[in-house]
Amino acid sequence: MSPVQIRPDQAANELLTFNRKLGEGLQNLVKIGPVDAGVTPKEAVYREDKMVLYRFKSDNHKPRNPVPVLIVYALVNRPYMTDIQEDRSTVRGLLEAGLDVYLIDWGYPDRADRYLTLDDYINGYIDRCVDLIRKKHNCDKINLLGICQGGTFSLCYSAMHPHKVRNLTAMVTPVDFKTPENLLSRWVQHMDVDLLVDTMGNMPGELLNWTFLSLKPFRLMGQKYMDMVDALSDERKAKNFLRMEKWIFDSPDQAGEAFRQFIKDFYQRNALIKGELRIGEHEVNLKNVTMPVLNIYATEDHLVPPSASIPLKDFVGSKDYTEQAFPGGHIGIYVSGRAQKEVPPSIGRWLDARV
Amino acid sequence: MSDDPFSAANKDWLAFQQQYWNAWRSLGDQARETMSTPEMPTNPWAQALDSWWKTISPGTGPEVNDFYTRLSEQAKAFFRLSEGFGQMAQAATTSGDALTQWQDQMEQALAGLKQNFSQSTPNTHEFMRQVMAFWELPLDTWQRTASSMSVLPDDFLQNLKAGKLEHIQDITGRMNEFLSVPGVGYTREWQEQLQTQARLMLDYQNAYREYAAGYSKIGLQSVEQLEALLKAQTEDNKSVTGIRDLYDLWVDCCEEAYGKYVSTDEYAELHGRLVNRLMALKQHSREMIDELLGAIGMPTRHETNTLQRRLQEVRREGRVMRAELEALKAQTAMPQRRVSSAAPTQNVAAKTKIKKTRRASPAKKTKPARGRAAGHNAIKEG
Repeated sequence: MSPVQIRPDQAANELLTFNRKLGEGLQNLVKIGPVDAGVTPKEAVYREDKMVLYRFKSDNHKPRNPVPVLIVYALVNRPYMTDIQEDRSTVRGLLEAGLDVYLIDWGYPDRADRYLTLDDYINGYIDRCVDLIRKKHNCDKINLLGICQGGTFSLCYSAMHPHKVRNLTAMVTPVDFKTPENLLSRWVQHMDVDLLVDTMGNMPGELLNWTFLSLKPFRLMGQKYMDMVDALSDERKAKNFLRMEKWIFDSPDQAGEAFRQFIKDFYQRNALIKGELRIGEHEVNLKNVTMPVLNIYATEDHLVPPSASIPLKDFVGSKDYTEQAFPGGHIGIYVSGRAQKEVPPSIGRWLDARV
Repeated sequence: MSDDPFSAANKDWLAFQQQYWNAWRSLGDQARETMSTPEMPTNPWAQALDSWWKTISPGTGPEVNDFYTRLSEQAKAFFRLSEGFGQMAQAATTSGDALTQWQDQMEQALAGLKQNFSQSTPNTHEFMRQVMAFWELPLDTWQRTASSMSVLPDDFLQNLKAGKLEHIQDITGRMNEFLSVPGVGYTREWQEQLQTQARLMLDYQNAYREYAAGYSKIGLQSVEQLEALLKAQTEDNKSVTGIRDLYDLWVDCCEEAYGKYVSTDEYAELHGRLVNRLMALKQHSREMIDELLGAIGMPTRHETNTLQRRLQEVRREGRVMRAELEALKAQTAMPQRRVSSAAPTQNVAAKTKIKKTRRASPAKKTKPARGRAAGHNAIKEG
């Protein structure tokens, strides 16, 4: 038997069906209004430069856990991924789990922010947000929940200011930056980051996007759109897809100096796990991370492979370390149906047990 | 307007498509005979889609338009793929669908594809771009990204298509000789700057050519992978029954070949070189622009960088000083608090003393506590 059994008339029919679906879908696309993201009501409680600290509101769920949670998102992409739509919101899940949730939105750095360093971000912005929340809630320590690069920042912060962190949750957080599966790491090893930052000033979001899409280009830039043709006729599905598209390409520039430090110290020198990292005047010693740690990673993560996250247990000083593997990818861990049911409730339970 | 955007095309769709494939088949024959790349026929479907979209899209938002662009590119790629493989399928069907004949046909086609990937001439690059639908997708995206970062209007990088770079290798040596000629006269330094710029441009073009050559390897390996998969399916008595299935299979093959290649040290080096040389070129461009701006009395990038760096340093110092001030205020407030919260006998004594002397009110000495709260002005609550 021939391995390809496509008769021309069948093929023509298939193409015709495809055309119809595409045509209907595109007509639907035209009718779609603005694509919103970030659905849970929130209030800005603190602003500094382009950073905004939000506190989420929930009419239905009063916080049961007295210790507030601060979500520290990555500088890459926008934090509304954690609250992207009604039925896909990590934030909403955390509120339902009885937590009082704050989130740092880094905004869109421009050339005026070019000289912001990791010290400015971690010992500056994050520390001031933590202090503000501590003061507001009259507590010595708060819970930190770091996501991706924000997880690495939270880890560094916890190592430098352990007396302010009650529990640390790291989600899809790179710790060992030089594992064989880490394509991003491989690609930056030969890059002259000094030349890049000195030339570009800030790291353009477009270049970051290109890099992330290049991890799986044929799926992320090709097949994904073909898959959508089937779903375009459903307005809700089309809108969900566009919302994700908006997020994927909503990529802020990175403050040049912070980017330089992050790539050189973390990706090229792997200084975090070598105990050679300094941020500002602080030495970052992961053995100082003595508070309870919950490390959640995604088994199919192509951006932060599990091998980059799992080593955390070998380096922290905590005696209360919990690991949770989520069967999904880097984005699926926030937006998939399974993630909604599993991830926020388990974080809530873990934190409740450590009040 | 009709609800069915393709109503006109649908009417004669099968005939239209048949006619189009016939044109393709004849072109395929021509290509095989002459080993040249004939001009591709214009796909009526793609034209219909674009025309229709133009009429209805002016009112749509940017997200929808961006999405349409990406979607239509893929849809067109899908059609190109179906056309390429459609020729093979059609040839097999018309020749009685005998397995050996189909395999011959397939092997011939795949061998042609592999040959095209390994030959790497401007024409074959264009041919592969058309037939293999999207194997250069990452490379195209790099071109767009690099162009979007350019400081020059009408970016020259947009014209650096892989196939057009092959000629550059031939002239690089002669260009380098020419660019080494020392500058003379009043504009000597500017001439040297231009020579450096041209050299950096050649360096980048060479890096890009090497990088693009890597993609030819990916293309070749993808075809080999597809060949192996199809052979395995034959042995297992399985078959691909739809164009979409074939497309998905091709995506799997490309992704696997790509994944393997970009994990190598060779790729990491090529990638690093590509980015580094582009940055070297851009940095030099910016320096030249800075010189021009300086000459006409405009602020330069170098100057604004210095200002921004100093401003950030001052802000940092300001914060440190403010924190120290708060700490000092807290320290000076502490003895007062101790006094006010001391034993009642002491308070009585103090009150007595105050009554006697009528000196400064103790309330005034508690001011630092208020001052500490005021110090949090640095933390502006929204």
